[in-house]
Amino acid sequence: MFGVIARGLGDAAALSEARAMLAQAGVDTVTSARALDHLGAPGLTDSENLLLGFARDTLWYQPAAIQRRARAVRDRLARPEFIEALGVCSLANAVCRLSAAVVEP
Amino acid sequence: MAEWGLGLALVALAGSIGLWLRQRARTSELTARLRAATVDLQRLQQSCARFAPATVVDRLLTDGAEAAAERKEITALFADVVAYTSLAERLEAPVLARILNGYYQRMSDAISEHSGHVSTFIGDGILAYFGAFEPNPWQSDDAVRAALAMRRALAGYNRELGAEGLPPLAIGIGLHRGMVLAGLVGTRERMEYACIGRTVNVAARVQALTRTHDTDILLTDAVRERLDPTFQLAPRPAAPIKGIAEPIVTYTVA
Repeated sequence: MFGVIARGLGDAAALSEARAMLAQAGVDTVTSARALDHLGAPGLTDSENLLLGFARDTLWYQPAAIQRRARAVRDRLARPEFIEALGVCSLANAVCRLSAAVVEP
Repeated sequence: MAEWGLGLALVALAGSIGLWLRQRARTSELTARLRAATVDLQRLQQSCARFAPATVVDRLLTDGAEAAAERKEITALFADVVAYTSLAERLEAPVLARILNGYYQRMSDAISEHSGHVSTFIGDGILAYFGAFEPNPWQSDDAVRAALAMRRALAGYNRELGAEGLPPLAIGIGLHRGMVLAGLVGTRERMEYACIGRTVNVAARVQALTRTHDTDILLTDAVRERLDPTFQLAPRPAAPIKGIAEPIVTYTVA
């Protein structure tokens, strides 16, 4: 989700970090590239693919789109997972926007 | 002497209170005017956001219209109703208008649902952009998903029209990706947000090729190259289009 938001905002530094984190977590490069390029990959679970789309919809702060997708995500995740997803998206959006201000191009 | 000093202090205190009250009233008045101006500005920005991206509206307000144009990569979608002229000749104007409005609404919803923005309705045609308003690295996938959603929406709409004894609509959709100049164009009296460049023209001409290839959706190599491999594409024979020297290969999508 962090990688999707970094890619959507064009934040190269955060995207590089996200790729490194995915590799450390054992996600192969083909799967991570496919997930970041197309918001889904065959090697990921249904929930993971769903969350990538949700992360993308949080990029431009359009409440209607965020709420519509959030309801769909909420119905398919356990409550703690859903809250974690909201937290990750919020944090990733903040970090990627701030990194554009502090990281040299 | 002490009484005189006390009186002077009271006068000074009363004067200070008066000044403070006047200043407070003035501050309240200015705050109210500032709030009203902010509400007006927000309303203006919301109205403008229906016609141009928020970032463009912000730049327009700070830098003026000339500064609000930039080169960017977008995917253009051009849709057109097949045999519209004969349809228009057969139907009464109010019926035709109702059919077209229902068509526009359903197609616009399908485009918006997939992060696209309808730029304009050109007669019975629809021009939409993906990646023009905000950067969108997934614009090819979005545009093809929107085209597929338009196909499904039209099938549903045709069932509704059939139930009323009205003729079905058929559409052609062309998709192409490339660089454009995006920004506000027009005169001082009338401006609109538009994407200018060969990309948009090619999308329109690829749409016209749907008749040649007897299909409803066609996309170019520029779209296919960045497309999710799970889409099922089938190439069509290279065909010439106006403005491009070599015949181009296009792809249908299932």
